[in-house]
Amino acid sequence: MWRFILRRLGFFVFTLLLTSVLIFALTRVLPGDVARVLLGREAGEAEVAALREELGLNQPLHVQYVEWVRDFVTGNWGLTFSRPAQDILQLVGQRALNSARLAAITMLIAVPLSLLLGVIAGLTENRLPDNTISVLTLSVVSLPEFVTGIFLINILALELRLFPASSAVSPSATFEEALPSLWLPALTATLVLLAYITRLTRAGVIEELKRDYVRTATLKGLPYRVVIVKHVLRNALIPTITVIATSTGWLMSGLVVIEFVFSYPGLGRLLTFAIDKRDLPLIQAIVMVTVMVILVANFVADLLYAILNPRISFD
Amino acid sequence: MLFFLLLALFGPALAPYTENNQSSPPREAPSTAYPFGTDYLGRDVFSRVILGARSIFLTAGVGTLIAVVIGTFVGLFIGYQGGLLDEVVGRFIDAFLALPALLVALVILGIIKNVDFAPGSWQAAVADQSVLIVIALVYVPIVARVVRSSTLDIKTREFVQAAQIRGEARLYIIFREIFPSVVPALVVEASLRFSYAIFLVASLGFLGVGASPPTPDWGLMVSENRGGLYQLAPWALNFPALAIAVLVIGVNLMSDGVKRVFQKSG
Repeated sequence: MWRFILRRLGFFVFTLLLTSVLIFALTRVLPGDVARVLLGREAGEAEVAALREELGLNQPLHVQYVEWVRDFVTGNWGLTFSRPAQDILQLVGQRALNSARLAAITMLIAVPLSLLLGVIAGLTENRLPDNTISVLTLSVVSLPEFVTGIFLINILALELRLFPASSAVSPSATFEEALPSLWLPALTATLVLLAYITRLTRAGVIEELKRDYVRTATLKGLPYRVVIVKHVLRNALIPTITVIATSTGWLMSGLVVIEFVFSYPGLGRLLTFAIDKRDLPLIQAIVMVTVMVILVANFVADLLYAILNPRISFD
Repeated sequence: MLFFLLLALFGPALAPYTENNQSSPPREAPSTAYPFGTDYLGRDVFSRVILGARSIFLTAGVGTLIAVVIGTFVGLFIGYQGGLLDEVVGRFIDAFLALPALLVALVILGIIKNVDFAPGSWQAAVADQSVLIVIALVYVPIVARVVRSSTLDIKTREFVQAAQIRGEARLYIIFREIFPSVVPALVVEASLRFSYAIFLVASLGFLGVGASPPTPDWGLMVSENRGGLYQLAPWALNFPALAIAVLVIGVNLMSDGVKRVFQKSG
């Protein structure tokens, strides 16, 4: 068990390092001067030179990299370049909280719903309920989030007037204040996850139904409901649980688009904003945080899978 | 699917207006003159949707093609060679795959977009095709991994061992013996990548790091016509969104079909 955890931890650190090198390289080694990019075309030579000095851009690359990593690890993330200058750590923390709220509501809707649909589809394999669910979820999963989002805005916000069309709440809004405008983006994200989790649950149920122990249990005279709930579901849901953990990572990139569609002030919206404003330190911080969340989610998924499935060996 | 391909090929001949013709009144509702209405600049949405088909096909298609070619080479070589090379490249591929493609592409494109290149230089020419290149880049590791695992499987078969004993050159074995057996898995993977690539191109365009205005890019069109003006001219963004939806579902069905055909024969 410990060896397994150590190995996954090693992979975690390696991926994080690789990401940091990549994002650092992207912002520093690319043709073009960072100071020039930050200041724009109109800035004078003296201004550019001063900024280069201030940013430490005149030092050798490896020194810059080490310093950047050290600052990141010690929480010394500095200020944003775009005005008004804000403390990056605080800003990212606040937006990450907003994104976490959105993700939490999404999971709250998506997980029970897709498990239910998946189990129904699995128990009625190739019959009408299964086919309906499969076709519907399949066509929804393939759509980009912004397309689904726009259709939902059209129907639920503009036609039925159930929800506000825009979720541009104040970034520091409390949960209760933000809640009304969270439903529509959460619903959009749900549609993305729905198909994914539903299909896996369905496959799990179908596979378990074919096993010998199900026949034994049925022949023993156990009622159908008991066989399904106590035997089939318990085994069928193991892969699904890990998928739910993995989809947290998936959700992170989906949220970039969804928050843009609904103008919701989360981490994803902050990233598109930072890219638009050429705010390189902010971009770096957001990417590092996002990748960390994704890696932790994957790590938890692996761990859960290993713990829940006694048949997996740990080395 | 086929319908869209035809659109991409013959679009310019079919479109009633040119992509940036602004002679029409802005935000005109759909009518017989403008089947999908006009956008906020008075451009015919119908023509722009038709003309946009070409760019999404080209970008997603060529990007996928490059990724498949490079990925196949990498996968075949590391798979056949094995050992330390495989171990090292494999770790990098795994690490890269942990990052979501959309996020990687968004950040790379977002940063590149801000660098000014001298007009006419080769860097500027590369930057013009950056979406295509980035798509190829994020898909190379994915394709390489698929090819690698089928190579590992095929490498131990008798016909490969026979060729090794005959003393054939390594390149000969890789391309004449192993490659043909990898093709079914490769075709399935390629069609899958293509459908994701379309998804990606549309999303990147929407986020504003894909094609730049005034290109008739579907994702960009949806994004341009959002905002306060949305309720004034919903058709200007609903029709491109619908086009993306239909295309993506079409390509998905196709790739599903390809998968079934090759899995039966394979």
